[in-house]
Amino acid sequence: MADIIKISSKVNIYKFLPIKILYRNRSLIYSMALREFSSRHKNMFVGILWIIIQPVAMAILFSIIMGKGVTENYGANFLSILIGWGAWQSLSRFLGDGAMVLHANIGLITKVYFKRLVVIIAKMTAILFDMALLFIPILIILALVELIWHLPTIHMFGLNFLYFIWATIWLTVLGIGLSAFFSVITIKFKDVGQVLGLLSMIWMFSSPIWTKRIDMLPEKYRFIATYNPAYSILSFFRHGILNTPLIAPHDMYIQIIITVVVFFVGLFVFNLLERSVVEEI
Amino acid sequence: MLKNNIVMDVKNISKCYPHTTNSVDSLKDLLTNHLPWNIARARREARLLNRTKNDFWALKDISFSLKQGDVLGVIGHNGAGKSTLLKILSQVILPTSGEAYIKGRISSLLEVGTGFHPELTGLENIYISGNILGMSQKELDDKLEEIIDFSELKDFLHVPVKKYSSGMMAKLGFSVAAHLNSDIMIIDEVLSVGDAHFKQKSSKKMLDLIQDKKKTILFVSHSEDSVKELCNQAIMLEHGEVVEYGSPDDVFVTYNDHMEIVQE
Repeated sequence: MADIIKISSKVNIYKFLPIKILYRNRSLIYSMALREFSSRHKNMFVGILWIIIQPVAMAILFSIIMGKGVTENYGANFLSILIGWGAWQSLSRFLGDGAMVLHANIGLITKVYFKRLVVIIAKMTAILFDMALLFIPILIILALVELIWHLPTIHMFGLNFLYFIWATIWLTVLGIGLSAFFSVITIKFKDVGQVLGLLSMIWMFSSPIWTKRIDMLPEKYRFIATYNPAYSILSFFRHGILNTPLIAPHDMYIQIIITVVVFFVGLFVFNLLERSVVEEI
Repeated sequence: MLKNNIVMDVKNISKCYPHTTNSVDSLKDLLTNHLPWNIARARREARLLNRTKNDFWALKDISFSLKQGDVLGVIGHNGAGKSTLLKILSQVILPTSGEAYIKGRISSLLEVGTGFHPELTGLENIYISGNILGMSQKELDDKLEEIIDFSELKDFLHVPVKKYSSGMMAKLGFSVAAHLNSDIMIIDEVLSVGDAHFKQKSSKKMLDLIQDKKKTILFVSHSEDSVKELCNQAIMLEHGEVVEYGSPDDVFVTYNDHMEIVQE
């Protein structure tokens, strides 16, 4: 029997995580992610190679500026910055691009109805495509290097790699929460859009992107790291490849709780406002 | 909830837009909207616009029900509330009060070329737009040839649509939309696309769709001929309210009377 759709002014506040609907729309999510990904890189001379060129160039630049960061080994230092910058880029896009995702799809969401969370998940998927295209070649090259030269700084094989996958899942969960929250809040309160750039900057300087600690912050502000999930995420990414030390379990547990709270609050607020904000775009 | 054979039951749907002077978009609005001179200005503007309590009712207590195979023409002057009604029934926006029950797969065609991306080719856009409008990958694979043939754009399928003319874009958009396979279709004046030949072809395609008695259609148009030809019932809206609901012939009598009064 066909489903009966009920249209009314009431929003079901408990249906903030519509897994069934997202699963039913998986083909649309994939299609929209592909649209986002292809349109981003189409008609460029170097095309998708920018995904690799840009972070590699940044990592070279920061390696020169920052000098020794994680280890005494320049190669490992470069890799550490590359991994840190690559993961940070995805995180900052989850925040920045994610916040603007409803604005960017205005032509769609004001004309056709589908669960708006699909747009968020599609955006996240496109960002993850980019991240995979950066990391997969790096991982393959490092695996070959380890196989051939047995370098002590690279740990591509073994259980360490699971940390890399865990970090990707953590990054995605945090990204969905942030995007969902800010995508509707920036429409409801337009000033938030202006503050986001500043927030992203503060977050960047309180995250260990170039070095393993947040050395750029004054000592008295370093407690921020305890509450910054990016600290754990970047540390897990690095541990997965370079076997650098993980952060203290106490800090990690706090950051997991913060991520879970961001995820559920983000989805709850999104569900509450997604239909009404369409009229305000 | 839904009685026998009824696929759409709309009960007292209303839509209110609060007066924008009082809306809070920014911190400045939050801090200054309650200042006495801003409250006075909002009231003054509302009085000028003859709106009660600073609110604008785009729809007021709209009710109707449709059985399977019904084709309802929605007519009215610009600003009568037609598009708002369609957007509510398409679930794009929420009503302020009232409710509607819809049974079956619904697709809305409020614009041709929904979801098209200028950087992508015609072929890529067929898949993306079809997916967005609710077609599955398999349905698109099955109907791809038909869509391409109908669009008459076979030679341009691998060209980014940003290089298409607006007519070509409309042809491609219509071709995807016309192959949607849903139980209920909500259509907002998308019949007139392309050149004279394509307009005729698209009208015929729409007629075929509408004559398929399994589909229920809500169709907004200003064209008396189209509504009389395609619809078995019509509803006329004016200032968000139902003025007449019945057969297209009767409704157009009222509509034309209103038009004469407005012109006088």
